Amino acid sequence: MKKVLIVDDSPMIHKLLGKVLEENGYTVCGHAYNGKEGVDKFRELSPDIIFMDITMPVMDGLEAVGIIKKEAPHQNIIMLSAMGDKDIMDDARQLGVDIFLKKPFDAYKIISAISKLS
Amino acid sequence: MEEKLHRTFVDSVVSILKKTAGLTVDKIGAPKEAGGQQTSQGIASVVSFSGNKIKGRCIIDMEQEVALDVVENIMGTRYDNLKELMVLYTISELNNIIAGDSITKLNNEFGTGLRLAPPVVFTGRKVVMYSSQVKEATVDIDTPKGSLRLIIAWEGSL
Repeated sequence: MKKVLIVDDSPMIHKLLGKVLEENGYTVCGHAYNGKEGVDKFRELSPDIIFMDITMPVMDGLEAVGIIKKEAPHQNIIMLSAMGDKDIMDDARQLGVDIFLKKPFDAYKIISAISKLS
Repeated sequence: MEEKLHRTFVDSVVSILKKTAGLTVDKIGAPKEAGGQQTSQGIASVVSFSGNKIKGRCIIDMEQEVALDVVENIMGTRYDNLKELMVLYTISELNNIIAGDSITKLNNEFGTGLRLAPPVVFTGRKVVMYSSQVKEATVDIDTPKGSLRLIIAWEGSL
């Protein structure tokens, strides 16, 4: 079973996304509520996939992705954000984000995205 | 241009409420200026945005029944009290998604470079909200479950 780390400041997203993932055979191995916690949990848990929000307190998702990709260039990261303009998507791609999804999401959107990852 | 700003937010409210909670809108009022001071209808969430041309706040203020219905439809659980943490989390994230949708459209069309700050939510009837010396537009939106209000307050222009 693939292990997924969820990084988002909204407990609502953790609950909904966790439900979708677990119903589809993934294990949610960790929860983080800002980018810094996300980096710490990534180091501790070595997840297969990370779902990462952008707008978060303490450290935003783009900064966290930069740190993670520097340490593990092949880490699978799906950005899941309320924002999705061209500039922010370009920034995410340059940092090595594999897939960019805009909120709101449904189960189909999430599972389709994961299935595209190697 | 000002109309474009609040129209973009109104469109996002209508679209995101439908997508996330299946809530339709019966009537959208004309934008009006409330003179800075307003009273909350039950639960209100504030998201700030700032960029290279404009900065401001998007406030969504809902009556209790609208908020509880929205939360039930999104989370699949009925809550009876606006002070339940999951109600606060959900209304807060809903505003974040609405503001994010609007900001995305404004950035793509006008190059505003807007970014959001994490949302804040508060609850309690008759809470007074005041925005000092900024432009604002208040739009009343009626739904089958009750009313909600969108307040956009800003400085600068598109």
